[in-house]
Amino acid sequence: MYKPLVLVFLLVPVFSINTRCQREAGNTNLLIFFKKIKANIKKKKILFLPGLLFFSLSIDAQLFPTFGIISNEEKLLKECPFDKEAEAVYLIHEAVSNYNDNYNLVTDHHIRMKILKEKGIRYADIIIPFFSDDNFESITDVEGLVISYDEKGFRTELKLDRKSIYSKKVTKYHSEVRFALPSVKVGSIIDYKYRSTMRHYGGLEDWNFQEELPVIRSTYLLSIIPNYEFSYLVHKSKMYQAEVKSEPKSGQVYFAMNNIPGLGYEPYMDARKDYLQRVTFKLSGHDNTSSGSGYSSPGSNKTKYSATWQQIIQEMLNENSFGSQLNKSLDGTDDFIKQVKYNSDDVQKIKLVLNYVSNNMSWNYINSRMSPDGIKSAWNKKSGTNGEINLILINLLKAAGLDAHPLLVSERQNGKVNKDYPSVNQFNTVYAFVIVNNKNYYINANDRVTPTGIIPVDILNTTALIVNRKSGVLISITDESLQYKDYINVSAIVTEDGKVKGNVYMSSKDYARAERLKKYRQDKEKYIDENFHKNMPGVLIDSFALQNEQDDSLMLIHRFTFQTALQQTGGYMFLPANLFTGFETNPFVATNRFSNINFGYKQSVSLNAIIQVPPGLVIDALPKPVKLVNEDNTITVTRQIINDEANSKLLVRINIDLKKSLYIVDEYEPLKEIYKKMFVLLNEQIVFKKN
Amino acid sequence: MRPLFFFFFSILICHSPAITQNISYDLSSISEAVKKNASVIKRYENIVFEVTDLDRASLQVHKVITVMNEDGKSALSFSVYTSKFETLEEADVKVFDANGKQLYKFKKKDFILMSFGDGLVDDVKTNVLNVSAATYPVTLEFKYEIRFRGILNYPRYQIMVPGAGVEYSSYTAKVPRNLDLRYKEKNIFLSPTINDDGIYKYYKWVVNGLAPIAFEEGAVNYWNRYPSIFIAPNRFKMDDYVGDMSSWTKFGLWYGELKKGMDVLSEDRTVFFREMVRDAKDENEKLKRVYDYLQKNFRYVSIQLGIGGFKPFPAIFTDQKKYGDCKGLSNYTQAALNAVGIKSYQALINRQYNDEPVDPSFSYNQFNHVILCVPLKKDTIWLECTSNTLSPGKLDITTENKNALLITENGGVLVPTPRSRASENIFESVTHIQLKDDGSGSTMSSINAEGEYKDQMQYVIDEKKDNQKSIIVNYFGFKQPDEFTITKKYGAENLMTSLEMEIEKIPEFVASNKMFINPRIYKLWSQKLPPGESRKLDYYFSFPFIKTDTSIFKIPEGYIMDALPKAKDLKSEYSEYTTSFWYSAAENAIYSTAFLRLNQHKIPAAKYAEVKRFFDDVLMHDQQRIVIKKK
Repeated sequence: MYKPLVLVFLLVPVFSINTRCQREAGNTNLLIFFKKIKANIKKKKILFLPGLLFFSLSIDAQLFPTFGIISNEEKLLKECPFDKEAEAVYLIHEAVSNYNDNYNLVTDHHIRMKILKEKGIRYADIIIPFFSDDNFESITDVEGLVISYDEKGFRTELKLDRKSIYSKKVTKYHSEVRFALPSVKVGSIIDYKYRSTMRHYGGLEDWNFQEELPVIRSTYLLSIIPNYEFSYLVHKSKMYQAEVKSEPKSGQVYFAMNNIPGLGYEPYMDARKDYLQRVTFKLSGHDNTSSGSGYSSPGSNKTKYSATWQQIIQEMLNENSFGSQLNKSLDGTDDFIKQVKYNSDDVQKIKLVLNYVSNNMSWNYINSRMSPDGIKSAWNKKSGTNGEINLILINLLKAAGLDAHPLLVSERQNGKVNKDYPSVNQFNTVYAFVIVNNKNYYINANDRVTPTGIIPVDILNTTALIVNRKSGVLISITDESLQYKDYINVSAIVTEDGKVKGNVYMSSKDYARAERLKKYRQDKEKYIDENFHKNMPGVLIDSFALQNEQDDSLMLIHRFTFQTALQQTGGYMFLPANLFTGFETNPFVATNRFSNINFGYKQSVSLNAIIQVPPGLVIDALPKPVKLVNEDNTITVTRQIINDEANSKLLVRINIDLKKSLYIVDEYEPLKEIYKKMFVLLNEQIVFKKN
Repeated sequence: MRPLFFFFFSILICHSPAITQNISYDLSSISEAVKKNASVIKRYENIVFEVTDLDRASLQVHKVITVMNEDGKSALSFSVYTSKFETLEEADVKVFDANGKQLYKFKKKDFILMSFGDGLVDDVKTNVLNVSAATYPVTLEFKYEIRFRGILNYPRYQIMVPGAGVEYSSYTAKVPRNLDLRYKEKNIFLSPTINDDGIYKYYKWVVNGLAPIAFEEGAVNYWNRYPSIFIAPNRFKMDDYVGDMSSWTKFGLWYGELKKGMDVLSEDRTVFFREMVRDAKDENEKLKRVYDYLQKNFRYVSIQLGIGGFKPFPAIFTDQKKYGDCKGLSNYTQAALNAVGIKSYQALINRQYNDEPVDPSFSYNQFNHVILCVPLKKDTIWLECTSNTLSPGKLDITTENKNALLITENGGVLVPTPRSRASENIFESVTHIQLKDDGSGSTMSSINAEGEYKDQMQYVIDEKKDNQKSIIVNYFGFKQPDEFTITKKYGAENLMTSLEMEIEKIPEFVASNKMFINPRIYKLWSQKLPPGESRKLDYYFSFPFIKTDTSIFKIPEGYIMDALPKAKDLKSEYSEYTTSFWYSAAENAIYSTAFLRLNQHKIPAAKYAEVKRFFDDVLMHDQQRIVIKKK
């Protein structure tokens, strides 16, 4: 019984402050600073440089001098000044990264939070994730304090007990340090710090100023390893100030931001990451004149830096777990490839290979752009990461004689690619890219529902990198002709005793085909229930059949019959006009919105219904003909109901067209309004009366 | 809802070694009865469970299944839970196509190890293997072995799972004579053959040719409702704790031993509690104060460690940390009550709303939670120590209707927990709607909520405003408001909430000179029950309840009533629904009232169709309209 509530909570979180991130389609929404930092110091000198931080317990106190020291303001704080509804607030999140004698990346974190509401107490259960694979990272020196004040303002302080700190292995690659801070009540301040030690600077992570909860002050001080050059990018909204100080001499850079509201999840939000106030880092250069570098990138011994997209392509092609995986022969595929080659149609070849790979490989729940253990091993295990499965696909496509290349992509949920900032870390996985008869094919073997030749929805309107020595290039993936398209045809008969029964014939094209098939395959019963039962309470759906499920060049056809009793009140009978369009619940109820609304694709749904009216009933009221259009003409809803009295028929026509896939956050207000009107309109019913 | 506090795994689907040669992959040999409507067929299964000592055992499984079609694809994902006490020794999985040709094989190293459980701290892992199928049918052969070092639950013999037919399956338990074992058939008549070689006893169950039993939504856990054999030890050992499960009394003694000495408070804390209740007029009052203190100062944190999650943290520890899991918090509350002279008992329970009560005649560990039972002079009070919101004496739907094992000085005593009552879960709402002639209006609802509804309303009140709005609209089914305020009026046993809204369009629709209005501005009932004509398994609602609604529509000047929905009066053995509608000319207002009651949460399969029809009728009836028209 609690579940629906929790679900609602998870799906539709909300912000009281609308920080309007500016954004245009295709560009990143945040203002960006792009700088380089470099430490011009030689290894041996490090030890004597003033200002550098060395890590021993005695210096810890200086590291975070305010640890355990609460200001009067913090003590008195009852609510977050810029988010009065917040359950808890970060008073401080500060961190310092530096290297030690072994050139490890050592990052000390200090977090201070105040619990403001009952619901916020859960934030006193702390989880610190880290990369434990191959002992790459360790978490040590965890210390925690809980500071509370009684009514008279007297301070009590409780320490986190070392024995109550646990470590838990989560997957092959990740572990977590977990602990619960003791004796936490509303008004308590929790103060904790810990040290992360990573084997090298390859683990350098983004610094997020913004969290799910509001943050009052967030600072980060980074010291760069000698002889290396890192570049950083500050992503921030115009609304906020960020302080950036860099000291090239010591190779240090410092970032700070104040008063940043929390950022949660919203319906049709694309990538949360794109909205976070943050700094990203990337290695951009290495001074090769000096020796003794401590840094090597994960998975290779070579120094890694990228300045242009072309360089990234070269690096990826030279990469053991990527480029070297593109020309492998896979066990037991020779016969299959021979068969494929008999086929003269290249598109047919793609379909055959795709089918073969989808059927042979299962996903192991790990996402990657590369193949850490090699694709031969994945192929033999019949299981691999999403990246591995597509690298296998590329191999087999090439073996079949097709011009196939890897395509590094950033799926919509991973966020926008910044074209001016070449970095492989912007991509989350790899697809196959094939050109046949001058047409581009973007293929993801893990997708299984997108018709071949259609851009998979996860990469529609995104930027990707073709990895190819000669013709490698950054491309924008877009196709104006594609949309989510449903044609719904209904023919129904109303009987004098107030029943309605009819046939439905629905054709779904492109993304409608893909999305519907995906949901249908996940759970057939649930699919029918959510898509067709929900439309009319008490409706009986029968003879449900799906056509063209296998042939992806055709529209997906649904056929079924339905039957239900009409609602009756005092001689009136009611029939909904909005039959099976799927537009039943308004997703945009929230008053405030923080992120853009990204539907992913354009949509067009049209309903044509012919309703036979029996002689014993007359039409008392018909919903009016309406055309609802928003200001920029990107949303139109038209409804027309014609009473063909001569033939005792009603002709219902509803068209819903959403001609834009992305609305920026500033457009939310009008979008919300038109959605509200649309749902009111769609709810209107046909009224019959007994003759 | 709290996550469960300790996990006890019985191997969900079991199997074992021996003869491999004569397993046929040929589908034509399967009888029609086994095949019909089966998405998975267990072709062959041989499970051997061998106990060598109090805390040493092994489980060897050899199993062949054929997945017939995509509906059975979940059988292609295979997982084994392991912990400090259970390890997966080896595993060998082979995959064959429809012609019996081996496609590929997997070893233990191909399994993915993942942590399991949503607690903050626990030590259980799951070993997962996902097999992909190019085409169906596909046949999988599993061989694996699990070792136990410390064992409390003997692996259950799960003969059937939803949607799967069985050709042949057997389970052999080999156990030292001096230990022996106990068993209980569930939903099947099946006796083992029993042999004895002087040192070991052998129990063997065999089944052949079982037709599949379909999955039904809203039923109890399948292990309670599908054919299986529960197998339990007499004596056992976990870490250094030896126990005896041969009776509820003795099992209670074991747990009593685990928690012994844990319920002691420091001297000053004892004094603290005594001070707290010094002027309390009776035991009830004392208990209330202690429970209230607990609810305001302690929080639930899931920590599943120690003897498979059984041993509570000492009261002194919980007192310092002000957090704990259900064992720790129950133990602490017991200690606090002790300090003020109130005797209480910790009680083990299987927490889940649709779980069956444990069987008094078969002592077997199915517990996953601890609550506290306080026998006062007049009444017995149950305390859910992990809740910050429940009233003292109230359990929630997950622990009502069960048998709890009280841990007394003399061992375990099985006692039924209170039954869920409709009269304890009340949602009462009165709404005044001021309708304007453009269809807009302002509304004012007063909602009285008790029991489960109190928790729901509390949840809404604590949310941020936009979340509140989304819950009001999407969960309760209110019209989308332009403006609203929600305020908590008062609350102890109950919670009064007032909800004021401004709504742009109150009628469902306005046509020419009429307005068509829903009988209420929210949905009294919105759950669509699963199909029911031939249901085999009992259906479980979350909880029984009473909902009443009075909606008063003040209609705009110039409008009069045109038509009202017909009053309804539906009654069944399990439920009742009445509505009434009238027009008050004096006030120019329409009154709409409704009453809906569900008497009990569990509906026997034979009666389900009737109940399903009832709720379908309620859904339909709620779709009627009030019609008003211009004069």
